[in-house]
Amino acid sequence: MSQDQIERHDPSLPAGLLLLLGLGLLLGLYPLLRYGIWWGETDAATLMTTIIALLESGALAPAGHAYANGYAYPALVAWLAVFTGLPLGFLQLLGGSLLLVWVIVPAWLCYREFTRSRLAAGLSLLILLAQPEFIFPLLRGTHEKFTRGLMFLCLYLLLRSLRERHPPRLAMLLVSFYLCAYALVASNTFMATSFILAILLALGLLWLAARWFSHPGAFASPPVARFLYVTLSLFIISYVFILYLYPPAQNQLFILKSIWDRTALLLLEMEQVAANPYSAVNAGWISLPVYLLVSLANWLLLGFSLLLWLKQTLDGLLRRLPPARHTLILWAFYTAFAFLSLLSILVDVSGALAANLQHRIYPSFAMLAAPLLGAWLAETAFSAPARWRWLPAAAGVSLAVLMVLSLFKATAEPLLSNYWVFYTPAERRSLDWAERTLAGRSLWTGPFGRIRDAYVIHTNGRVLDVILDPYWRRNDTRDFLLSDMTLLHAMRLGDQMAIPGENLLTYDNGRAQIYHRRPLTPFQK
Amino acid sequence: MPVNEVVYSWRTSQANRLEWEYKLSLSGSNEIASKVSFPDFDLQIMPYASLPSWVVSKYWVNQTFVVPEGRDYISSEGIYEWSTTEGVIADITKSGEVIPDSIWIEKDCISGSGPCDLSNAFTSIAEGLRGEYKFDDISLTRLYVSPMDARLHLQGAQAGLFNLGSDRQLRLHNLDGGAYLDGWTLEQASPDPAQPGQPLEGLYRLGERYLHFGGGRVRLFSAQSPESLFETLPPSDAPTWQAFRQKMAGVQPKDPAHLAAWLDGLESEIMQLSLSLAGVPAYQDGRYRFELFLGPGYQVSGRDELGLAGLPPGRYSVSYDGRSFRVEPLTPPRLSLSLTARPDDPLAPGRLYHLDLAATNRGLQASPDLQLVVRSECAGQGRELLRRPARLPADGRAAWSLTWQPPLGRQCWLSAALYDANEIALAQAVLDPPSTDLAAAGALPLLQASTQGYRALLAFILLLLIAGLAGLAYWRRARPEGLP
Repeated sequence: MSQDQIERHDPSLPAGLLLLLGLGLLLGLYPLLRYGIWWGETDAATLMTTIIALLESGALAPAGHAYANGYAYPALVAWLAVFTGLPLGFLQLLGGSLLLVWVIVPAWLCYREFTRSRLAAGLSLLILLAQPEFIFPLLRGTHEKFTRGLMFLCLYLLLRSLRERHPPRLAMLLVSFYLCAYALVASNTFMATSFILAILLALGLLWLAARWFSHPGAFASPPVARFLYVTLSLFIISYVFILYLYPPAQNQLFILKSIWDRTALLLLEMEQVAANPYSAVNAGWISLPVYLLVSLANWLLLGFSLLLWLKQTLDGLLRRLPPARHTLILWAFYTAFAFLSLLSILVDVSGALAANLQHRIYPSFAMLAAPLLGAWLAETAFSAPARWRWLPAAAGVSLAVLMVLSLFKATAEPLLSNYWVFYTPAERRSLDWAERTLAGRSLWTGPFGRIRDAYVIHTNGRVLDVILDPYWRRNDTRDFLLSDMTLLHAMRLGDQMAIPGENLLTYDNGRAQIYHRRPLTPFQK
Repeated sequence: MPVNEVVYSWRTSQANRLEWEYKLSLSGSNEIASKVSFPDFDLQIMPYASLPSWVVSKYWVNQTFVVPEGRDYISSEGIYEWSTTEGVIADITKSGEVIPDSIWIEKDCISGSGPCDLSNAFTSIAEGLRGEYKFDDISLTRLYVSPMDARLHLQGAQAGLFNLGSDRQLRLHNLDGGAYLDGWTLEQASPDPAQPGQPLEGLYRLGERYLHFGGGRVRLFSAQSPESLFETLPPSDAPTWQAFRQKMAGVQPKDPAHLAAWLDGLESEIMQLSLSLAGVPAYQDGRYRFELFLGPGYQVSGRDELGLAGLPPGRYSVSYDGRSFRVEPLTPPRLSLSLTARPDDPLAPGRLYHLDLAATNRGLQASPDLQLVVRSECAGQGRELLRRPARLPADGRAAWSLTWQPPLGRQCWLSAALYDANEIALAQAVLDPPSTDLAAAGALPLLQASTQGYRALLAFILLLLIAGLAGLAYWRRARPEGLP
């Protein structure tokens, strides 16, 4: 089927896009129906502190509470809170997941430019929405949904401007591009710099391709020249932002001692973490097969896109058949992000860099792998011979199943995952009691942050009267919250808990208990 | 919570040099509300002039009292030995010599990481110094003079040590845990300060009787004299200092190396035995208990209050309840340990295990210092669940309890043991509960807890909708090509 045929057979824009928007809305609605208001996670809870500090101080970088990677998300939520009058916790939970839907339109526009087909764009978007690693951060109350959406917008505006010949419209596209690019940098500096590096790598690949096909004038030169300007401009924007406009971004960068660590943080979408990122597979799921099942969409996309990329690359190398310009640009971006992904994993696994960096570039890679597969499906699979006609239908059913499985992974379904994000009304009641009774003291809330994070969001990030102390118990913590879910969670994790009998049971609502460690010395309360 | 440390040294002489006669080291948690103002700032401290009276009027958690006996102690700051919070210096002349682990013992006490068991922190002291300590007991600091040795002591002191020089030391005891010291053991010091020395002579007050041993004899005296000659607060200002000075001027300390002489003219002898005493008497449940060794041909003179007549030679346990003595053949510690599930909460998969531990000593000899250790062994991985110090008196018992949540799907067994200082298990118990499987852990309760009931159905419907909508979006794109 030719490109023209595909365009001709594409359903009407509004209905198709509305379906995708509806799907995005349902995806965003799922955690709200699954957990109601009884859930939360660390990043959303931490960002609430920043947002509150921003509201109270009126500064984009409130002292001691600034979000080190950029101010855009806290500022946006602060504005929404003031504008709507809604509580912050409500915005972080409800807005955090429902605003996922905003990514749909920029992604669709971007994919349409990459594939030059609305059919392929729609399929690509469906594939992307089945990626758990992509959906997971978009359902949280963090910057990432906006960062990803802005990446899509930047790519769309950049590619669209390459086709534009009308000067006023071109100027509008360029202005829009740089505005979006600044917003991207302000949203997350390090994802933005990684994104810029990908553009630079794509530029190099396009330049090489132009040389290889000995056809620079036909399709390669405009992108090469434009990408060069864009890369330089974006590096300058990032440089100015990190060093002058938003000093907190420097803290995270310069806390790393070696120049290699800094480079990785800046260019490979890595982040500082305290734990081994690869241990999550072992501890995070009830079994390895379950992990593989809920991650199946990742592996399928990885495998299929790699095969398609290999075919395109071999076709270009062996036959010297120049592809369409949009296909070549997609190939170049896919190669660039794949290379960065591979590099980030290699440096991380090798231990060459500080052991506290974690790669998180897969969602960016998935953003470029999805259109590769989507374009192939649109171009090839749907025009399969009659005896293979069942194949697209089977792919459709598989996609629906994969989307459900991915949603389980993205929402940390507690029946399958060991990383729980929900808490219970009984735990909430016990914390309310602790706030009234244990003011100024610290309360251990379990081996993970689930109860603390959810409660912080539930109470709109206000400063609590009791200090919640999850994970490893502080030395001076003398009160412990143990609920049926905490014990079940520990049991699931293969952990044990021992409560010496001399501890005092100070609160019990049937499903959650608070113990007070019996004072050993008069210095204790 | 504030933590205060006070070092308060004073003297009674008016000599114009920095010579100190007494020192109190105190730690506690007292609010300091007063401020001292300076031109540019205020300091939240006690004003210098009122500091002594503030110290004397407050309650303190840990207290030590150090007295240089028969030697000069000259320093610009006071007496350094036996601090209560900064690690225990035994002898300031041996620069930096802090009793091992004492700083951690003291810090654990203050932070609450461990009990305030400072007995292992005060195991030695410089020659010519006498130190006493009292910890984990919030009280005012009071002093008294004992008629026995005619020296000033810390009221309520739990123990003390007096370094007499020439490798001899006098160990001070508080057998009944009361307000006054009631036992003195003269020892040949061990090269290892942490180890007890070789007893040479001992004098102990057992309620209405004094027990003395030394020179191959054990003697029993009546105990009619009061336990203190006078009591006083530490001096806090000029009038109290004068009063203190006058009271102390009339006190003539007795020779610490001849304990038998302390009773001369004070108490009357009741009986005398040509036998030996093993160890320091212990006090438990209103009874004093000590061990006697009756050698071949032992002799008893005076009134035989112990009722030893006719007993064959051997080792005996003697107990005294304040009225009469009881003598029984000594049996060594016989320890047993049990680990059981509470009867009203039987072991069942998926539940917490409420466990009881009980240790018993059926011997008439006290156990050595022990450690109770409870461990779980799950799929080859061991984990310590509980560790507690323990010491079982003669014919005594102790109990602990533990709530344990086992890991999922692993066969575990629990073991408990009482270990002595050489890590030798003197008693053991094992419990082998059934393993907890996934069903017991409860997928359904988890689903109910995480969805709060009705939302489970809605979430399921939404999942179907998402799958349906994804399929529909896909189908709309595939339809023009005529998919079946």
